[in-house]
Amino acid sequence: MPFLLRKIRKNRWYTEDLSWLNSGELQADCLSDMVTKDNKLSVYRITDDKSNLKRVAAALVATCTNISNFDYVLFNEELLQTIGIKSEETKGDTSDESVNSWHIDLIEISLAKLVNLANTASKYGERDRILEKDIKKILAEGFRNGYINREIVKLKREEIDKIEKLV
Amino acid sequence: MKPDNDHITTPNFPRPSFVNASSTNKIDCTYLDIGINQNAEVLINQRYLLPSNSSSTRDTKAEPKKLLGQEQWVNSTVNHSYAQEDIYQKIEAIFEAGKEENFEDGMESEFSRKLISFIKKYGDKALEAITSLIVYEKVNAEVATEALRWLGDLEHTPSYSFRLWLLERSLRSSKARIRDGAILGLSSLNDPHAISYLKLAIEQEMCTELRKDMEQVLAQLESIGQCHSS
Repeated sequence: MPFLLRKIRKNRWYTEDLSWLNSGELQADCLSDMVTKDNKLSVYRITDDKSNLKRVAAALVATCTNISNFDYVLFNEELLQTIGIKSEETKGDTSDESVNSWHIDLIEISLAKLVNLANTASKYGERDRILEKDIKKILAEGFRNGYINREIVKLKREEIDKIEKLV
Repeated sequence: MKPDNDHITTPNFPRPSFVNASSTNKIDCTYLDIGINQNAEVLINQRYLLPSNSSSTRDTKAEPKKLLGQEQWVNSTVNHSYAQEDIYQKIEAIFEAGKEENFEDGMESEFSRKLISFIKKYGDKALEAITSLIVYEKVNAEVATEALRWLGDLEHTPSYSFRLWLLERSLRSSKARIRDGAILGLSSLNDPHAISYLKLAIEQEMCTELRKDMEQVLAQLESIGQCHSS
């Protein structure tokens, strides 16, 4: 079963180091990483073997102004059935067309389902980070292999120059 | 790019409030000593640091005063500088405004633009004020974290040493988010100088997830040395 990936900021999802947080609870701030639009949440489908994960990460970083680390949460797609969330395949908006084809929208999300999704993803999923240095290498590979269309990346010019030095 | 450390100047620090000017005091700090004589002249070392009890840090015991890196004792008369207070107020306002923003990794924000512009304009004076806000935990943790990330990313040679020091110091913050901001800043800076500080932070880190993230950055920095030696 494939996974679904959502970009997050890991430290909003820490459950330790906060004495006021009850066991099993999440910080409210983690919902900043689950902002919906029109009650839809954007996620990317990752293969069982996670072979496309780095490519998705690089494409999402390329939608930003600056190269940075990439934090994410990954959870099994079948959890959507447990929570009762629907999905629809819609084209993503990155500079990598293949990554765009792996995009899906979670739709008709109520507040309760959103909170349930956050809790479920935290409990049953995994959170990880790709450091900036590694993101640069993956971006360089994307440029080199033509995965990423340099004409439409949103990175600032000086950031693109850093990648091109590695190509 | 590392600056030439031989020319690091000791900044004029506004007298920290913990310093008692009425008598000769010597306050043991975790990494260095701050002494003050009866003329209220503060003897501070190159890495002017804070007493280990000056804020709610995580440390429950004094660490050995083994210093990593060069130290120099410098006599410096500390005066209340109105210019410095003005800078302090300006950066405080920038941090305060930052609370209203929702930060995202890799995205510039009004806060990051103002922060970077401020540091480029005022250099070490800006960093003194930022240090005071972050180390004394006077600002929102999310904003402090964001600041530390950008401090690591900034390309500005004159402030390099100070920024490296603040990132290393922030590994000892009482807040996990700030410690995470520090490791991301250090990852960006990519300077092996931080290795020993990271190792110490890892030993003390109680948050499992953050400790794993620290180890990841440590591996990155240690690989630099391996690359150079191979």
